[in-house]
Amino acid sequence: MDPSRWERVKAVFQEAFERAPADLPGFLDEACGGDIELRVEAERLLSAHVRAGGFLEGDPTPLPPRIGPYRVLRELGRGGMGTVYLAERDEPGLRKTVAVKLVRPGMASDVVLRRFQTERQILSALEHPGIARLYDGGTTEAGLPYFVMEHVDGLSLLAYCDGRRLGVADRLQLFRRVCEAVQFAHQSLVVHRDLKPSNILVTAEGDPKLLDFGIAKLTAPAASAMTTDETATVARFLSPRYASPEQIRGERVTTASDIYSLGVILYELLTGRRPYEPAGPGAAGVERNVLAAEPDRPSTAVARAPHVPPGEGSDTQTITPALLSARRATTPEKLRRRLRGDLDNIVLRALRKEPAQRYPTAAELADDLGRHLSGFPVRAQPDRLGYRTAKFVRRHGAAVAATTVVVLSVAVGVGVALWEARVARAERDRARAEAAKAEQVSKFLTSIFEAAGPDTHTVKPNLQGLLERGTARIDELQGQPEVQAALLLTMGKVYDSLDLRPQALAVAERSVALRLRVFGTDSLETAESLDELGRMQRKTAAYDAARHSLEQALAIREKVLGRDHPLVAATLDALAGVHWYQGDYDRTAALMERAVTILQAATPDSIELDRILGNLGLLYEATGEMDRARAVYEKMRAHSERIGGPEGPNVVFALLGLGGILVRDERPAEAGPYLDQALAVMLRTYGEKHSNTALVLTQLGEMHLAKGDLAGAESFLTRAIRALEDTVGPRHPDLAPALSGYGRLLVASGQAQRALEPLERALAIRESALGAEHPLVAESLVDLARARQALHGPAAAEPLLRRAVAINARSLKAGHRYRVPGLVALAQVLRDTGKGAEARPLVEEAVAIARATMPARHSLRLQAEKQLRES
Amino acid sequence: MPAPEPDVTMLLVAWGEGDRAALDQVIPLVYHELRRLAHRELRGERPDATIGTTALVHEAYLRLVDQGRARLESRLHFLNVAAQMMRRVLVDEARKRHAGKRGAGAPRLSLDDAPEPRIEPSNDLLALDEALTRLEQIDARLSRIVELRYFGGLTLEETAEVLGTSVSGAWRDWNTARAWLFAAIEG
Repeated sequence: MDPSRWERVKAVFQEAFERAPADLPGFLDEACGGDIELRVEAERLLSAHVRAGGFLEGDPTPLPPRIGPYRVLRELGRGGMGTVYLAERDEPGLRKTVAVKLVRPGMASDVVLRRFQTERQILSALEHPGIARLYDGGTTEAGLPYFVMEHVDGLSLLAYCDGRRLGVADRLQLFRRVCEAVQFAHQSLVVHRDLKPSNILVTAEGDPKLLDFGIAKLTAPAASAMTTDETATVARFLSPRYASPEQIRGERVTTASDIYSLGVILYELLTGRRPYEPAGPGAAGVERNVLAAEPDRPSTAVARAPHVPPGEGSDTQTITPALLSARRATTPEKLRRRLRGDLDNIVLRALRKEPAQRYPTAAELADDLGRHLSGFPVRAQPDRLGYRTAKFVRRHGAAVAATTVVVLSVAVGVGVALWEARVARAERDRARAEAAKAEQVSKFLTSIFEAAGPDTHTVKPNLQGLLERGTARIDELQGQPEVQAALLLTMGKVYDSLDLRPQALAVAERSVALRLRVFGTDSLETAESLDELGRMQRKTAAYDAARHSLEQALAIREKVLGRDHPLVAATLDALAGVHWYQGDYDRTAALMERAVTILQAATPDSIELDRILGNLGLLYEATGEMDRARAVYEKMRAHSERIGGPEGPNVVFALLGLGGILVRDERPAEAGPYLDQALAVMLRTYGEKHSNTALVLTQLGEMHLAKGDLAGAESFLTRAIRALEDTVGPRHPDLAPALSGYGRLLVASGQAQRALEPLERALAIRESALGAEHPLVAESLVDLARARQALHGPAAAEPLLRRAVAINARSLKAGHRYRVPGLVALAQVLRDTGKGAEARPLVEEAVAIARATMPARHSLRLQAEKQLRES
Repeated sequence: MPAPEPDVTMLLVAWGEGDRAALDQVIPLVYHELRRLAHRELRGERPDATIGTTALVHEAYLRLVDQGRARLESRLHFLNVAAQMMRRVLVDEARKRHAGKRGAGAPRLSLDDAPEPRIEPSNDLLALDEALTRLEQIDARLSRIVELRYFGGLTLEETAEVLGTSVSGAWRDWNTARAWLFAAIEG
């Protein structure tokens, strides 16, 4: 057949094959006209289509005869994770019919099983009439995991309601029962993560049951704490239609994500449509809208244009408003009126893109629906600003990297300097997180600015060129200042992540100006722009300007949202950073404490809280307030464990903090359990060859050194050094603490000559990374001085110690704990070289500080007091 | 020094960025892996597992591609290639096993045969392959769709994304292809 002929046959076939058989002859008459050959070919193809039936369609694979101790009866269905079978326990006297979900191969079975072991207690204990029980789990001989669940015989929620033509009130009552079940699970700390209508079955008696609670978490691809590039690969495993924005972005999943999914389900239950239609082919189209577009109000969604869903064989009826309202026992106009107002607001609240703005619990969603049904006023209010713009990718808020830490410029000191390691690592993570974010934003912008559809061979666009083009396009939007302002804000963030500071600032300033003009001085939009501007100004060290911007943002947010809102906490945190850089640590701590209080009340499960607590702990360590630091780390540990489990990424850092404090207070025996646990988790999560693990190894080395266990110390420290050299290279800042520890160890074991090399390396690394006037440099100088003293006597140590003390005097607050080692060492050397008089003021200072900040039996304090007595 | 292990992830990413040569390098790697996995099935190393080609392709993907380094599109690129390779693997196997048995008496694909190719390469598969090759001459896109969906296990949406069409277009083409192939094999 020649090509053009084929095209015609194909065209006719494609127009014809979905029509009812009775309509065909008439259609074919029209379509083929007098062309007999065309008609014959088309008919041939059409009849082949009918006879083909399910040809190539993937009919059920042969049933596995058994799964574990269960005999398989038939297949119930399949999903992304695997296939579900109806099965029967095959034991005499025990004939229970269950549903068994066999996870499909290739889903990292060992990870799935391990997680199941951890979750099993919680999941199997989830007993509620509205939740299908999870009984058990196991592996088949082939090594495939399976889960044994209660078999629920029912229709999916939508099918049930549509089939019985349930009206709005009945649907709402059913939905409230679903919320009840979700609430129960949330209170048992189980998040569903994959709520969708097909996961909600309704029995013949009208009881709803939720399936697969918690299963999604078990089979989710491994989330790695330190890499942030796998965002959308996670989303690919979920149905994007029901997934929340934070899930699509690969961020932490919380109960709020379930609330969002409930919102989508409610939307569909009431209107028969989904809040987001694909903006382009494929799943990416839906995702784009979930992240960026505002959904139609449910009352208007009903009237959307009719369309024919490209069904996978099932329902290919044309969806019209009449059809949808008929399924709800009403007419389009009545349905619209019914949904308008309260129900619109309730649904939209559940669908907010910011988790904190949704209903905090499923129970509250149910309550509001209840209020509506009883005729009382509801709590949900329309989106305050009431405008519709395309909101582009918002700031992520919750930390993408596990440990993004504010850069600290003050050192820790005495023997256990892991600051720079943590700081450097945090900077690196933050840079990577920013880069990942920029990558995402740019992908997003690309998809919006480029007209063409997806092409698998597209060359990656040049980001900067794209940004310039983007900025130009924004300028064209003269008549839509709100859109302009939002776009400028996004643009600013992208420039920022690329470290194009001048452009970022310029754009951010424009955004602020525009928003002030459009929304006025008391609007949240203006506050958002000011907040972002302040952060950028801080990054360029324009601290006064940053304070000004952030204080303004704070004032607005407090006024509009109240003093206890998470967004207020975010600005407090940013402002704290500014005070930090300006050296006002008291104010920094006060602001951060306030932020912590707010978040603990408002979003107790946020990872943001971990981050701030971690920063606060480091802050108190830096100012030498060990008791406060300890309290904060304990809080952080409890919190992290609660949200991430005992092996959550941030728990380790809390343990590290607690262990570090104990080591520094010379209580190494007590530090042991913390550090051992931290190491165990680190090894499991990252393995031996990782800079994070090296952090703990170093700390353990210091601990053993403090205990006098030189062999143990050597083992840990050399491991740490090797791990770091293999992963980050020989000149990386993370190496300094390990090398310092090692050097000190060598000095302590009488090998001062060998100690010179590592100590000199540490000093060089610190000078190069931190500059010459840094307390950590002073610490290295003290270490080196001790080694030199051991080799060549006190005179050799003196110049280094003088330098160290001078640096500390200039860079540390008076009364700071970390001045003590330098003072004590220099005083000793001065006395040994006959300059006792000069030593006296140093000793006095050392004793005063030590008495104020150290435990009574701390070796440094004892040393200083002894010096005082002898002088 | 031994030659470095070819890195499928990197090649996929490179291909995604426009490096056509990378595609040439990826293909044999994917083929090799799929063949290895298919052989494992055929030798019956996992007797009670019900493995279909879709699962194999996914497994190959997880083995060959480093999720942490791959891009968003890499999975689709991979599946694109894997679908073609899966077909080749199965057909090669079928040829080896059934050499000489083809002919006019070849049984036709019945409706009840598990259409997702079980790893039992049979005569039917050869007939399908032959028909598919013929379809390719007439309408390459249709044969591509069948490769992607049937051999690669892609969903309709994924197929549409790979081919750059709408879902409804892919749906119509898919049905067209099925009808044509059925008619062609029927004889």
